[in-house]
Amino acid sequence: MAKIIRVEVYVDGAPEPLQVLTQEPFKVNLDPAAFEEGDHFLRVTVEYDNGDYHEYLYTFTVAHRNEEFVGYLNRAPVRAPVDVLLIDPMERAETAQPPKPFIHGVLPVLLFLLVAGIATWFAFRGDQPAALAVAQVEDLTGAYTGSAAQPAQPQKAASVDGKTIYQTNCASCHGPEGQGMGDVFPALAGNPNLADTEMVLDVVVNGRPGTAMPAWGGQLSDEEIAAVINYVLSSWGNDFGSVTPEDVARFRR
Amino acid sequence: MSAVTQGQPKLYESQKLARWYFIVAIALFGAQLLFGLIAAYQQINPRFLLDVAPFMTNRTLHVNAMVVWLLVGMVGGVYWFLPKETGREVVGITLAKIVWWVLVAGVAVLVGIYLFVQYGPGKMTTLWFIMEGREYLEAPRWVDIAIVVWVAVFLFNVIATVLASRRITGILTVLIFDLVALGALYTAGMHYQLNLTMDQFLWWWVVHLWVEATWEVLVGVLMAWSLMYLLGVSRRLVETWLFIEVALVFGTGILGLGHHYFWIGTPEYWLGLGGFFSSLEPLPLVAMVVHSVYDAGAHRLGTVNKPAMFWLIAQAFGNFIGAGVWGFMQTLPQINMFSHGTQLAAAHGHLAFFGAYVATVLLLVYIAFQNLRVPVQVPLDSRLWKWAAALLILGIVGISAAFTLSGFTQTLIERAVGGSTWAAFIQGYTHPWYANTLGWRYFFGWVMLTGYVLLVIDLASIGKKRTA
Repeated sequence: MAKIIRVEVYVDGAPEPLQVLTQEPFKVNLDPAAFEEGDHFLRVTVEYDNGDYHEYLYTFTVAHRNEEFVGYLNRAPVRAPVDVLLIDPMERAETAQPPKPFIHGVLPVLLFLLVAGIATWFAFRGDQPAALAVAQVEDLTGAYTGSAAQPAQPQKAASVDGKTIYQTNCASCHGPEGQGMGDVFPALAGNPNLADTEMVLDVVVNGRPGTAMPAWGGQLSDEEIAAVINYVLSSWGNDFGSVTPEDVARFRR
Repeated sequence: MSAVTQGQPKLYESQKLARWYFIVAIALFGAQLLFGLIAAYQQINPRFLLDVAPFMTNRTLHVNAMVVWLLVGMVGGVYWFLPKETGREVVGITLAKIVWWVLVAGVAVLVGIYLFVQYGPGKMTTLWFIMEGREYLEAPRWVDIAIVVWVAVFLFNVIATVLASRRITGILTVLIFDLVALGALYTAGMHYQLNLTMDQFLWWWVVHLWVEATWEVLVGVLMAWSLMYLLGVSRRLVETWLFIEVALVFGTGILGLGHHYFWIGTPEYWLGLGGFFSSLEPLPLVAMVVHSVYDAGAHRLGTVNKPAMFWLIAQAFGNFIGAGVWGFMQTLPQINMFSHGTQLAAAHGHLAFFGAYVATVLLLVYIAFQNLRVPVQVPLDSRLWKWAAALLILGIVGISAAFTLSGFTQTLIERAVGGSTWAAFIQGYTHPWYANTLGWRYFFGWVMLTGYVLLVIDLASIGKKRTA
């Protein structure tokens, strides 16, 4: 048990200590009459025989009323060992509750393993109920139709129609009438830049990096791209010529 | 106050380590602001740095830097107060120092990977070494393991110190069990799932249970110590409040997790559970406000450290408004159906993280920095900290207000009126109420950065030039 060997008390930042205590009892007694009325602060340094050293800051208020001098400590630091009222935490430790090795040592480790274990269990086994649910739904479908559910066949476009492709893929940004939207999506109706069909082919097939315009080359066939370009080049008053699927193929990278 | 002696005060080794925690935390705070500012500008001009560091890279860095610096700051706070609380040096401090410097090196490597590698092929090696790709928890698996090891060593420090000091307090008990949850829950974010719902299910354990339960309790512990230091509040009072807050945080926060399970493919009962418990989640935050304001009022706001006291009160209100009010606005399933994933969530995130955690870490930093140089200035005060605090708070309020407005526009125009179609999405994003807020966000980002610069200058000058 470490013992206090020296206590120094500095008041209001004074360079010299007001009190120096080197033997028991280590209690600081201050006379309120010795201070001006108002707020003050204390710096208390504490040295222990095992070499430990601490500093503590206190504030206290002094009032002078009717020749009566009242001082009270209004701020004491965390577990200050020396004080007008407080006693040393090192000494108080004898009366304080000791930790229980199981509750404060073993139990936390067990809980850690438990929570981490639950997370791991969920990670490896948690999707089992979901898989079972899918199997049950498939069984039910079979019961009603008399056969296992058929996966829906992806529908192929019967014919290549530029207008349909435009309304499906392009109109949400460029507008159903090619009018564009704001500053972000350029209008196609009456846009003179479309006269450069090479540029149009490149932008539609490969997209325009750094903008919202995606590359359609991976999603639409040469015929579909040619059809939608021809629709744009000849609709809403546009008259910018036409392209062929072979032109589109040239721009595929 | 006249300068008496110059030099270094006698600090515990643990407190010297805490100083490094705080220095790295404040540096990462700067990095977070910088990447946030770039991301904000990229919203206005998406071509800016597009080929070098696109928006998603900057946002990843912005969010990851925040998570790391706040956690580092709070752990630093525990290393600062732990020897005072137990009355002895922290056990295993050498191990803690080694792990700390390994972690710092790891963070530096990770920033390099985020900036210069950015992504990899869809293989397990990418998952281990480059990026896991999960939003907010992008860190590759080797970093995940490092973080769990770090928290485990930290937990060992705390438990061993408590056992060696042969003294237990209510605050220490809460701290130990909270750190168990903090370390163990992080492991949930390390599992790779083919099923996206399952992936999200576990992902929210980290994102929600971490931040809305274990971090809040850790803040409660640090607030308890800070109130005792700043105001001399009695231990019995702070421990009583701490137990109330812990009961409320875990009582509401664990099932409050349900508000993240509304629309990810989990069973429907989460709508009721999440709606009910998450609307109770502001309660512990109200308790914190009452607690700190009551204590401050009872002690007539007199304190040994004015900036720390300010951030303590700012934490109480910021936590309640940012986490409580802004969270409650969108937590009911009936509202969340239209508002989830909009910028309202970003508004809530910005205001809540600042109010709850940035304020806490700044409070701890000011307490620690007051005691780093001799003579210790009492009470700690300056003109600069007020400017720094005012600009930081003005900045975050402006950013959150801009996010709230744009989130409202998305909720109304894109979701409620437009029915979440692609055309409605475009309409929402091009609407002036949305488009104009981008500039305001960017502007208030600069305001925050200015506040940050003043904060750093103020911290660097504590105990040096001032004569109070």
